[in-house]
Amino acid sequence: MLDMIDVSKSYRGVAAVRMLSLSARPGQVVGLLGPNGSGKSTTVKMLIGLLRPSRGQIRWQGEDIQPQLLDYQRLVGYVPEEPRLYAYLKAPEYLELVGGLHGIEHRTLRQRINRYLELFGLEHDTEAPMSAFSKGMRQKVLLSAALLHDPEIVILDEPSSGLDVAFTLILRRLVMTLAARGKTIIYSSHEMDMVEKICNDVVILHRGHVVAHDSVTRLRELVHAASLEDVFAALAVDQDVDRIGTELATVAAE
Amino acid sequence: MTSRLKAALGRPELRHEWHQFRLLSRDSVRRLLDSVLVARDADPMLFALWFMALAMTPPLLVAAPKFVQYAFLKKAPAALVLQIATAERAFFILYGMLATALLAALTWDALFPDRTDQEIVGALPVRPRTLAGARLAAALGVGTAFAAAISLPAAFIYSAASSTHPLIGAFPRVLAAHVIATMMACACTFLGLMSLRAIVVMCAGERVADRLALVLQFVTIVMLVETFLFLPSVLPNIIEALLRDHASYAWAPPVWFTALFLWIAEGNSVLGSHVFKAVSVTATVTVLVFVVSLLPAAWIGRRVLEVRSRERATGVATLARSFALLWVRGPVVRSLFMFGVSSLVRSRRHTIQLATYFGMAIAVGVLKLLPPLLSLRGSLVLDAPRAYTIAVPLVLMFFAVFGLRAAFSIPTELDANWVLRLVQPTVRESVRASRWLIVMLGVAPIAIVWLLFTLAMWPAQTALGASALILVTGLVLTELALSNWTKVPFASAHEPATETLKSKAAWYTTALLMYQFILSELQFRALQSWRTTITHLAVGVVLVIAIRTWRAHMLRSRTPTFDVISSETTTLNLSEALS
Repeated sequence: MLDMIDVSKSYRGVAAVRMLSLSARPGQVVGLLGPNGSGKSTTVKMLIGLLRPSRGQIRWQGEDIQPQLLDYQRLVGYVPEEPRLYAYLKAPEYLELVGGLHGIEHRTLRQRINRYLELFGLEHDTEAPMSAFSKGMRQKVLLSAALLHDPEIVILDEPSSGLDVAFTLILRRLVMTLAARGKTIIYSSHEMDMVEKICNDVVILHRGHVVAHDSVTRLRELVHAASLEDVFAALAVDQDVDRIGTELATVAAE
Repeated sequence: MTSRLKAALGRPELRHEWHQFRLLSRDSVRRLLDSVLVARDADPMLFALWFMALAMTPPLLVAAPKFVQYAFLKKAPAALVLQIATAERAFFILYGMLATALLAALTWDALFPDRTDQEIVGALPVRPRTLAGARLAAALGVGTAFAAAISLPAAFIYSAASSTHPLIGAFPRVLAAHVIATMMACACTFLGLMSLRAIVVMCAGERVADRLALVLQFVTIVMLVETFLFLPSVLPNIIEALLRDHASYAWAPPVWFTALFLWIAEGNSVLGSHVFKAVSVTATVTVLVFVVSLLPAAWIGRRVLEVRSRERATGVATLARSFALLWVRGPVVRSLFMFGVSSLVRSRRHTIQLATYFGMAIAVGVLKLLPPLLSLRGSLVLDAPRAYTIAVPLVLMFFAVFGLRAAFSIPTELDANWVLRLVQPTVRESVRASRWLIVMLGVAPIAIVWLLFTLAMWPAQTALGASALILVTGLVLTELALSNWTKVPFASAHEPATETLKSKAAWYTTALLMYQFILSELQFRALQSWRTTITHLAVGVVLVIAIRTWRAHMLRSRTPTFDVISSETTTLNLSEALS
């Protein structure tokens, strides 16, 4: 069980996340939703141990992760929001680096890398540096890197960014299969449709606070909304979207 | 004890950490070479050429001729031999220290873990100290290899040449002294600068450390050029003074390592008191670099992620915006101008490139000043026009104009230039924006500083005339630099260096010598009467108009170049000549 308990994070006195609590069980996919600047990325970075909470605790199996951070990080697979990787490396080199850092034995690692590259359709791009890769190709490498060590916790931050339709469908199946295998999955995204289809629970963040944490069905009932998008609009959208949209279309014509 | 150590190293977690350290060190070396020394769009052959020039100049130009010199010195007095040998050893040490400082400045960013590292490796089960240790090991490895490449060839040749003299130590001893003293001097410089960077990052943040890198690069380039062009002629005098009263030079690190060289090579203790300083300072910075890099690694890693990036050079951008609104006509030209200013002041690569040009300008510019300054040929006169003072702004102008033009050629974000491709500014607009950029960032500041200097030192009429001449010279040079310019600054593809290593060096050198020696003499003469000053100014204005008219005619039907056009590269390719 992964728990965030009353977690707050401030940057030089400016609060990014306030008193945030959420929990995710093995086999569960928890969706993390929120508008820009709501604290999603900060939450994700705290969940993977990149940032230390200013207050509160993150617990795995009831234990605070900070004292045994390295042991906890061995269990985590992470796909970052931005496709950050060492672009001067080739895809197999990058995966060898990540797998090696996880302590995977070389022969096993080579087999897994070849298999991932083949399944993601990158087997013919093994000689090119990743600087020449498209966003989608980099995302596939990052997904491979996140799964190489068979993690218990998988944290995906906008994982479908840059992927084509076929691989978005593959990603959906991948997440559902991982959950079925008992992995704990945090799925941060702006794509309501995807989140609605694959997440058991949804956490909606707004200005650093949790404004909703429940199943999609329950949230729809509570807010009397037809879809998750409507739930999100009711809870986390401050702006008058119709007015702003209309005005944006006519600003240059005035 | 040994068995306990073996047991400790045999622990699986330590083995795993060692494995991680090795993986990260290997990757760090690659990253260091790739991102800094062999940038993605740089030509490895060009890099190799520069490196060869840096490494082979001391052995070939300084060490090799010493075979003849020491043959002639066989019957010279011992004091003279000592003075000459000490001067040469001081040169090798100073050169090694400067070259290593330049390496530290060039690899500044890649020496320590950054935000990308934290976001990639920080999420993995890797201790921050392991990552910092790997970066440090890679930096030390590259630094050592560089120092060896700089020192060893010269050490062999120079030791073989100098040890033929009976007053100089035996070959193996001189060789050992050369290698130890120069390598220790390089290590002291490199480790000292790495420690300095880590301390600055901890106390003042990355931005200040970034600025320090620019200053460091600028200073090392100035000093390297001066070391080559000027130091050999004045070093014997300096060494003579040093041997007479070495306590006055106790603050200078090259003196410590020269003392070490003398002590190991011949057991000479004339500078003996400095040997201890060489050893103790090197040991101190070695310990310090480990302490300041490894102990705060976790804290620095977290801080890198938590500090939000801020806009750089806000003042320059605001000033440029105000200037553009007042002076630059046309929305397209104004936009290109503002884009150029922002790109230049916020791109580290471009500011480093300009710092290099500026360093070269200062180094070459003061060459004419040094003989009178050091009273080798007359005395330095500043309260009246002299050709050597006029040469300084001329050389600065030369490097500023061509440095900016070179910077314009390198794109900041090539993938983002689609917006300019869609709008397609005309070549005329692009040239106008480029001209404003060169004038505002290069020509005008130099002319203004020169005006202030001359007003303070010379009669007002002479000062105004001299500044007007410098300004018009800068404008002529700007028009010449843009005569075949068809790119959009910072947005057009940069031709790979293999294709563009051109044989224009002779052209540039001739032009620079004309500026430094002939034009400075001409302007000095022009300032003798207002009539000759006006004539020179009129010639400059006519030249500006002529070049602009000619260019308008030549480029009237051209569209801006965004991609590389290989057929335009018609000049000699030195890379191919070497292969």
